[in-house]
Amino acid sequence: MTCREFWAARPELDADVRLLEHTRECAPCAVRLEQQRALGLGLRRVARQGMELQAPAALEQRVVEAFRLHAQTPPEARRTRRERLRWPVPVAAAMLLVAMLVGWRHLPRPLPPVPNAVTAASADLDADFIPLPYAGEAASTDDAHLIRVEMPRSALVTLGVPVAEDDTEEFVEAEVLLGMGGAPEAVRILQ
Amino acid sequence: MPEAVPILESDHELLRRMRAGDEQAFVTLYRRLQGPIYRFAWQMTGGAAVAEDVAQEVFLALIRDDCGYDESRGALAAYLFGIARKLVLRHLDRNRGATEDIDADSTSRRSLTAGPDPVAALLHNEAVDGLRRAVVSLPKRYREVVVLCDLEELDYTQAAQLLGCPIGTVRSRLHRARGLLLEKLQPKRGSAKDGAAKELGAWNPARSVV
Repeated sequence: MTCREFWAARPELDADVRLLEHTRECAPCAVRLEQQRALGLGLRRVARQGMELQAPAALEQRVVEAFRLHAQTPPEARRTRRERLRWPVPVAAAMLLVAMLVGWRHLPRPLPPVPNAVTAASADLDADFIPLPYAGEAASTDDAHLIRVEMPRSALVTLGVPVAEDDTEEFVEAEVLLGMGGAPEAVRILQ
Repeated sequence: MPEAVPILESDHELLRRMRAGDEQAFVTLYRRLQGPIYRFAWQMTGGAAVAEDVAQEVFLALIRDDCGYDESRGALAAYLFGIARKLVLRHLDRNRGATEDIDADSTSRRSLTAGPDPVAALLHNEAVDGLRRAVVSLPKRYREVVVLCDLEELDYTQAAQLLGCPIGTVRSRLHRARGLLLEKLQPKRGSAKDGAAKELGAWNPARSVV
């Protein structure tokens, strides 16, 4: 038996008399096995000392108090309390989802790049687009981008676009002409 | 007429009574199971405060209606050990390095040894304090098997069930853990060519790959 075969049998874990033949022939393995046995004895001492370890008495008092509180609470009340804790999570998630959907609906939606549309819009700028009051010079057709948005009529008022005063909360669909730096230059109401 | 010896109630019976609101059943269960759970956490972390927290969390989990224990799937003690193990591992992950630094720190390594031949000293004196610290400084997968098999004296089958691994893995980890412990307990002798390595020849089982 080689040293490798000897240790592969894990002689320190399960004593097998057949393995001891090797230790009679191999002094280093005999020494090592003795060390392993000493370690095993030391571990048993640690285990014996550890057996005296107990959780502090104060812990028993705390958990027994917790048990009493739990036992005194009617099952229905416990269920209600759990449900009170459980419900807010899915409800909050649902509300967040609804808010995201509503917000998404009103987000500016970039149109697919349609150079012809931009060119056409630019060509009809005087006719259809209303220049925004604070906008600089109108963008050149090469630099312009057109986006379609839904916005409240009241927002159009703040942009300086003349709209009827009734139904200012109503949403209208509009196209915004963006300049080179992404700044809105002009707006065209679609509906 | 001799007094009747009370029959020891099973954990399952105590649990059923406890769930019906019997405080004495809970106290009996607590007193029966707190020791091994507290010791396991203490030996894994080396800290009494952590062990107390772990034991508390385990029994608070048992109190809850939705603790999730299913009698048909195994012993209550094993289930609670499983909770304790998860809590301990979570603690060790959060405090990664706090114990394993002992391995890297040569000063701490020296403090694990207690004389010219600390391994031999284990046979003759109470030099087990260094050994306990050496156990805590083991990587956690090796520490677990030493704590369960050597310190809590579970057999390999029980340890394998708790750890969710084959018995062969428990044995190989234990073999490797014992080798690591011997390395930690050996006094440093300068180079690897010195001391034990030279003494033991080319084959050093503590360094075998398992």
